[in-house]
Amino acid sequence: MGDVAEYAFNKYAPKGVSFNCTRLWFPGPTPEGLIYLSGQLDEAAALYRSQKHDVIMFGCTSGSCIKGYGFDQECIRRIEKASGSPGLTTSTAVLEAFQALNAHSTVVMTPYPDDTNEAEKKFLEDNGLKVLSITGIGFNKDALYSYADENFLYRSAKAIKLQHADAFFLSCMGLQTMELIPYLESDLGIPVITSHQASLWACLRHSGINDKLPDLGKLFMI
Amino acid sequence: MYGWRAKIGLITPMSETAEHAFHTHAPAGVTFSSVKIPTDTLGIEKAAYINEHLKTAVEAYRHYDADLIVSGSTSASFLNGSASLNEIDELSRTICGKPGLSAGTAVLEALDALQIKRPAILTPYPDDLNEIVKNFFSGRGFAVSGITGMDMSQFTQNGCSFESASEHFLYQYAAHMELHDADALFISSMELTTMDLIHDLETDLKIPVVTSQSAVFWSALRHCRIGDERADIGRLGFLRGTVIDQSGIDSEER
Repeated sequence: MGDVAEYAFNKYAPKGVSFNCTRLWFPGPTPEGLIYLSGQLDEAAALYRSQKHDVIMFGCTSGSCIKGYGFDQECIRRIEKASGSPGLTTSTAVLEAFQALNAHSTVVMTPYPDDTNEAEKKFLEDNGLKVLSITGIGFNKDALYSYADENFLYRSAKAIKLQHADAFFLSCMGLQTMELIPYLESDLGIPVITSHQASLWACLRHSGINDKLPDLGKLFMI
Repeated sequence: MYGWRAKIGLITPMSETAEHAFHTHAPAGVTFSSVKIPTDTLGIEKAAYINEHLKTAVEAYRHYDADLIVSGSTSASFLNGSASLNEIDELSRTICGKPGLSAGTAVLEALDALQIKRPAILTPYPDDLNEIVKNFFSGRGFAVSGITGMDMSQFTQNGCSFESASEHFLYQYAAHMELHDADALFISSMELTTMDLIHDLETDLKIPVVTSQSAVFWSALRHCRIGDERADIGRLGFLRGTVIDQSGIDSEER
């Protein structure tokens, strides 16, 4: 995985909160790649065994839900067993974010291929959410130096039919989304959940840190 | 790129004022580009001239990826009833494949959002054009509480345009209007430098103040589904309006 989550968490976290990061080898967001990724979880979590942490997060949305309902909880158990500290995953954080916002229906935007989108949609639905649509937009790597920049993400989001959803969910820890949240909420007119935001929020709340961060959307005012 | 949220193409009479005001008041990620229709005429003749040359001006945006094209002459969009209000949308969709918005439509949307029924109107126009403006609003169910045409001769006779009218000049005209029956003040003309006057006028007159510039600015943002509140353009800036969600539904096809 790249540097975006680590950078965003350190930049937006309240005073007195720090992050101790490690990396998993990531072949790519196909179901096979995601299963390979989550297979490394126990070994990575064991690295944290020597020091007590308030929470240890598996920071990959699709990777923590790819095996279906309950897989996020299985990942948490594996983290806790290997590390001795409380575990958490991004997909668990996202479910908690929907619950905190009292949002029951959503439209989802991801950079994933179709089969990964199908798995994520099923995971969300099996956890009680109504997924009105899920749209894969890719990573915008069409040419040299192109990437999923704010223009690409913002305009792709605006092109999605909202269908009176309770919340908009922008999935993937590999996307830079924190800076977009206030603009998307203002222009779409509904709460916006992103993987980065929900993960940071859940890490803080699980650690007993209750700061409100108004720049990061309605979720962070809860 | 600067306009990652919205790129708005403006078509206005020859003047710097709307362009400057819009850029300085714009939310993050929203940009404006400008095309002018120059003319040395005034009044009805000027409004008609702008309508005649609108198509040529829209052509300038043919290969530009604007999200919205705005015909920013208020008086021109008041001529010929609804035909002038809607012409820019038809031209823009045909030529650029993007929606268009006229200043007149923007003003109607702004008054509607503020639930205005009895506006007082201040303009830089001569009497015959003011009659057209008044009939435009009366024909749409407004009870115009009064219309005042300012004497612009001190500017036009010196070879200057309306944009030269000072804060003092505009403020004093507004402050001396008969407003006891009005539920809002509308100051017409995109060429008047009004954006930075609105807050003070609302404070002092105690009614909402809408100007061509504030209405076009606000409405263009909402048509582009930009929902930011603006604290610096009067009460209007705090309203979301209905068009933002309607335009969302229209443009939601992927």
